[in-house]
Amino acid sequence: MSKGPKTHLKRMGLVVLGVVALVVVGKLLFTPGGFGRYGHYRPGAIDDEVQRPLVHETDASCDSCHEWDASFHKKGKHKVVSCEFCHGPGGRHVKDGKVVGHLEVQKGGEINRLCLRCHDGHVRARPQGGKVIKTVLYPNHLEKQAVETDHLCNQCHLVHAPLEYINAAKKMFPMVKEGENVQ
Amino acid sequence: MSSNSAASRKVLTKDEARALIDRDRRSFIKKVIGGVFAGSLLMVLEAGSGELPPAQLPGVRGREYGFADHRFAFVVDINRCIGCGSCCVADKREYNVPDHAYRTWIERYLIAEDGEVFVDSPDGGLHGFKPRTDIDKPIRDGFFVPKLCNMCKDAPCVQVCPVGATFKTPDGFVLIDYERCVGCAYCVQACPYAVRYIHPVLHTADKCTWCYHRVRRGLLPACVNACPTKARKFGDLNDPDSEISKILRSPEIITVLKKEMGTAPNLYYLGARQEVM
Repeated sequence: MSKGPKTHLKRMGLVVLGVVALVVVGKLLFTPGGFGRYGHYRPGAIDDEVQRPLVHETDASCDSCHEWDASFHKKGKHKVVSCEFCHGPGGRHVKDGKVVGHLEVQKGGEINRLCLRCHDGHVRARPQGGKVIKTVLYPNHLEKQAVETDHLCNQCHLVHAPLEYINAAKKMFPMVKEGENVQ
Repeated sequence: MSSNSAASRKVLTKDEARALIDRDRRSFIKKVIGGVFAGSLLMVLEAGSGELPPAQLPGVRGREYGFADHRFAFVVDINRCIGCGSCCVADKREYNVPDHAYRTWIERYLIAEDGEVFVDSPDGGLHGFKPRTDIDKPIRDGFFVPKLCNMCKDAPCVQVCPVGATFKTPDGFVLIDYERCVGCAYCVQACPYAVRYIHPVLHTADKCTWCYHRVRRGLLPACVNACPTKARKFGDLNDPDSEISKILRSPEIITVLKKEMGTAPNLYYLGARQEVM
């Protein structure tokens, strides 16, 4: 480069050009494909989220095989309780039409714990009036019904349809009222 | 190789040629029959694999998804929430949310006669609620408030993200690009509703997405599907017959959280007392 009166300007220009070229190449290299199609983001991220595998299914999926259980569950007050809440998500049980694992069947003290999650009347803040949820005071409820206080909820209540046995007993013994012991 | 090519070049007699054709014919028929069986089996497997449960949201399945066709909204009815924590359990399982991080949670509000407000959320309500024994004041009012992403129309988290990893989809969902997120946690600070956290395994921001993957499959979000009392409701405002549309057009008092922040949430509350924040 000859040393003329404008050499310093030429050098400056080259540096600026170099920086611009770097920025352009960098932007081309590092901007993900389709960026800006919908906004300032990579549109493929929407598809990534859509592709996320299902873990929970719906009660309808369970009912399609477990017809017998569904015949009770769908009739009783507990039809609103999702199968998967107590038994675990369907995705861990059936994949691509094949059984891949067995879900939990709740037993023992876990039954009471699950029931009281919703029905414990000692927890204030639950909606009052019994329209949304019927709460019981535990173990007072057992004393009131004149049964042993170590009884589990499912010894009287069918967990899938809680009033099934109670209503059946009432039909058999029409005189029995709440609080009386059924022998 | 050479012997093979030599054999193929060998001139066949008439009988040999016929035998070869017959063999080929037989194998051809075998292949056809086998293919038919295999094909039908394939179809059975195809139908069985990845089969979705019946649609819960109308108008999503069976056609190409149009971003402009839907305007989803979420309503939480505080008067129906019993604090069972089904939603939190469903959410944790659906996303394998790490312990002590919450995409959704339930707060218990107890308001004393003198106006003092007690709020707690043991483990986000994941294991339900035990009775509170530490309050010796008479309680005037008590209720549960489920919290989740507000899906703001004007979301602060989207504005602050320096790398475009948090964004708003054309159908109104605020989602995260887990590939782009650098985990700077700017959005965690920006969110007025504290719904964001840094995922300890992914080292990116994470939050409730209203189960976008389920919605796009025509299913309700996992928490809505699990809620036994219909305290959580989800639907399309563009569908005038949806429960959501009916509620939002009803004379009920509908509120949003932190209205003064100007975020315009798509999450609405029914029955929220003035103490709720």
